[in-house]
Amino acid sequence: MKKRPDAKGKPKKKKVFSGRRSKFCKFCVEKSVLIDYKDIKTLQGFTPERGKVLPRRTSGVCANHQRMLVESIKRARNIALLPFATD
Amino acid sequence: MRLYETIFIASPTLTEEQVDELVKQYEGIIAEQGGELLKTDKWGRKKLAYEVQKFSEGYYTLFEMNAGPKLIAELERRFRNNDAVIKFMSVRLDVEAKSAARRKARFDREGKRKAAAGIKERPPEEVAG
Repeated sequence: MKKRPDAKGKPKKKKVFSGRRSKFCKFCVEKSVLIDYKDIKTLQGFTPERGKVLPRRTSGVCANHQRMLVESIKRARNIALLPFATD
Repeated sequence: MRLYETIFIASPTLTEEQVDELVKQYEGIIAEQGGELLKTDKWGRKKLAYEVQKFSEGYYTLFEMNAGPKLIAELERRFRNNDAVIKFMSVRLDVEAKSAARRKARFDREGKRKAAAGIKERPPEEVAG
């Protein structure tokens, strides 16, 4: 099925996201092939307050990258770069 | 030979000079056991994310080397026996690089397919909206 372009020639946006920003996988946009466990800045963005891993449904990260991300977070935790849990 | 990355945390009770000595000692072990050291990265004194052996700080050091599994086993055994080392971890980089290459190939393939089909790449700013 073809998407019908609107007046500006852009494909119509889905109604579901109206008013809300659509989710996208940050890593897919960057075309990252490796998520480094030493890159704490990036990893911290996906481990909010308590230090848990941000779920995919919230972050919008794709399945492949989420798997890589989790692996990296676990490695970072192992070597005390990231906390296992914080209160 | 495999490409490894070994990271270890030295106890904060040591002085900078003692840490340097410790690093030299391990570099010696790597050379002695037939490993090829590619990189030594001293991160210096860093705060730990959680307490390790009641310490909340430590000196991070990173080794990158070509080595066999025997060398890694020996190195880790020595880390374990040394009280000055409070934590360590080894990661195989060649396996990582292989899967990274596979992923890169997939991105390239997808990019080519899209170019052939005349689909334009959306700039990152637009996707982020």
